[in-house]
Amino acid sequence: MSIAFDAKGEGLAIGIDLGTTYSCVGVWQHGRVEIIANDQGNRTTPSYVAFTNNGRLIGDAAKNQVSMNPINTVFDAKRLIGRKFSDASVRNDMKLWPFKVRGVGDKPMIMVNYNNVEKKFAAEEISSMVLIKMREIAEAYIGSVVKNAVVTVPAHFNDLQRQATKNAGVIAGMNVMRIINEPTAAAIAYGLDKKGSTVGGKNVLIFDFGGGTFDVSLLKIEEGVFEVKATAGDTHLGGEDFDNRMLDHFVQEFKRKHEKDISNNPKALRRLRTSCERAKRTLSSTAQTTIEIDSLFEGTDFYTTITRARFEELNMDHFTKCMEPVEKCLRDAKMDKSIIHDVVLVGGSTRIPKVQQLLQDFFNGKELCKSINPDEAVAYGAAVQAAILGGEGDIDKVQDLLLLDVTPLSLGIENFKGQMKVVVPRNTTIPTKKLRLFTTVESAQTCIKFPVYEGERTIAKENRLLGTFKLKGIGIAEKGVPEVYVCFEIDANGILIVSAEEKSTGKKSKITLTNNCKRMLCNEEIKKMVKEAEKYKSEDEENKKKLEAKLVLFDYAYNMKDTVSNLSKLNRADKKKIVDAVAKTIRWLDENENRLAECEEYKDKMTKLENICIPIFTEMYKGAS
Amino acid sequence: VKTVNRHKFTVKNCSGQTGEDAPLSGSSSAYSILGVHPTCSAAELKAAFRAKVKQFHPDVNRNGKDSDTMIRRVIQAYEMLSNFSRSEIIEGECLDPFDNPECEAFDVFVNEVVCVGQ
Repeated sequence: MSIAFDAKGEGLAIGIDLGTTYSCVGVWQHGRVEIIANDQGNRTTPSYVAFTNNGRLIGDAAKNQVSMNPINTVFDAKRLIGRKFSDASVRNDMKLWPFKVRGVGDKPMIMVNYNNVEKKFAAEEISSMVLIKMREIAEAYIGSVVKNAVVTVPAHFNDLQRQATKNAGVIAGMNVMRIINEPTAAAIAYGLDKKGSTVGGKNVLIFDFGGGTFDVSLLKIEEGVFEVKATAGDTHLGGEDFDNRMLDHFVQEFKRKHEKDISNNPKALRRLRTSCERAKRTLSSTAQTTIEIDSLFEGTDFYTTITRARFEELNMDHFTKCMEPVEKCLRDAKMDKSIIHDVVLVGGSTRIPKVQQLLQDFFNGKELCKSINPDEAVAYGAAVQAAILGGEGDIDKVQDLLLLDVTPLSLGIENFKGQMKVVVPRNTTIPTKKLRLFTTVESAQTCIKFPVYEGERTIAKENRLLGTFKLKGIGIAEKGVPEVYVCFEIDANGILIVSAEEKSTGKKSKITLTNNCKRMLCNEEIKKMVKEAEKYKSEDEENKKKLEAKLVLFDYAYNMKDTVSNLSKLNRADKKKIVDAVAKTIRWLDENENRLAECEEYKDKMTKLENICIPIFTEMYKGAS
Repeated sequence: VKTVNRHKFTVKNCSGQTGEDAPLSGSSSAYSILGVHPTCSAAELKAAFRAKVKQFHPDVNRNGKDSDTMIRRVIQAYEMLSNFSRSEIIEGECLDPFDNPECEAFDVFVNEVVCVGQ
């Protein structure tokens, strides 16, 4: 028996790649990682949640109905998570999303119509729904309850985005054992793949270009220790941006050809976008492809072609932008590109020939490593890390494996000149703890307060304010006497905890970062969301039962209709009785097409129909025998 | 000019307290943390670092209460001995106020707003 359970007896721990456009789940079982296919047989699941009058849909089911219901189908939650409503990126994204986003405080909230009621959701809640779906996929495969998971985030995610992702896990009712960086997870997949074939250390550059984010990480892998040397990237660049460019191009073309503007029609835009995504994929293997959409807008068909060269031209600035983080990463790690052993491609966007070519040119023609699956590598690595953290007994192959990651952004404080004073420089190996000693500048001063920032700009205000740090109740003393130790601690998840302690008076007063940004969830809000998530889940189950009851009735009615029309033995009066009853039932079903009735209603209709049909058939067969 | 600001603060001591809970006193203690002799080769140093990381990292050492402190010391010792200093890498950007001599005189954090009414 090689299935291992963790010490707490909470079942297997899974690894989830929570992507912008697609998510993927894996588990360590039988001495290897299994990437788990969903109920549709797909190994990646769209990060889509749809709200309809017939309940909630997640994954493929949500994406499949998106052109019918564009304004209530939510995607791209990862582009909102941990961000402010006033962020420029949020403002730009909103123009492209068919669903509505509103700012509550400065927190972006997604507005949808669910069961005919206007509801608002935080990005964390949408992500939690995707996490729940991924867990269900895993549970169906493993056959038992899953509590623990490792969830991945882009390496360049900041503290707030990491915390928000962790909160999404809490709302989903899961124990997020660890947040790990996506390129690091991919490196594990690469490292296990290459294990045994190397002598000495290897310098590996992970080029992770996905649907919504872009990361570059440089690692040194030696004897199972994965040491991240530097990381860089863009949390807002990916395949979707290419789709957007293409979409824009075709909207213009449609305007030119047909003198009609489709840009205010969400349904038409959605259909065109879906075609763009497909065309983009095709262009990675062919030089030209066609777009054919019947009756795209006001009865006008849209037929056109696009070449790979045109696609590349549309996105050239995006592509060239990808090389900057590569350079920055090498610079930070103090490594020359000639000593990189392997350049590993991860994420769907690395299939684009132009991206590969630019990268290869940058490394002076070096062959790129394509041996790992670009869509599954991140979930693969997360599953391995989950097995390590779960302490599973039989993990001989990974027992020796260890991650040493870094913090992607510098952390510091604003001084009185408005400058950013770095306390923890970027690319510092985590876990880390930096301790600073402060004192008062006036006699009998009892309070110190300063703002904590994250970023690389020298002017503090241009960085991201994480929160304001405040220490009250300092013992009354002469100026310069109190000793206040301020501690920046970053745990293995990359999440920052700031605390202070005053030692001169012998009194220990601990404080933590108080967030005044109003875009993070407080514990109360999270608790409320956990309850709501449970409610939605039970509603989903209820809806499932209703749907089943509906289908049973539907089947029975059509079955009867069919049977009766083929029966010659039945007398006319009986036949009419059945035909009328069936017609009445079908009419009722049609009238309630867009609404799920209660289970009881379906059962009641079913009983009524049976009470008419069964006696007639019984009588008929009696007569026949 | 004397102000009524009561929320300023300054660095107590510019040297020393920049690292760990208990800062490493010098390279000799760094060697002892990694358990190597000062004459060891770079390869030996690296190997010792990897071994210590595997021993103390919280991922693998869940029971050890001091593993957090230990892993940080191991990382610090290794960075010190392999001359891999972060502040050197981010030249010009790492304006560490606490290592900067002028900070004693000028790096005073001002927080007027909160002081009002307190």
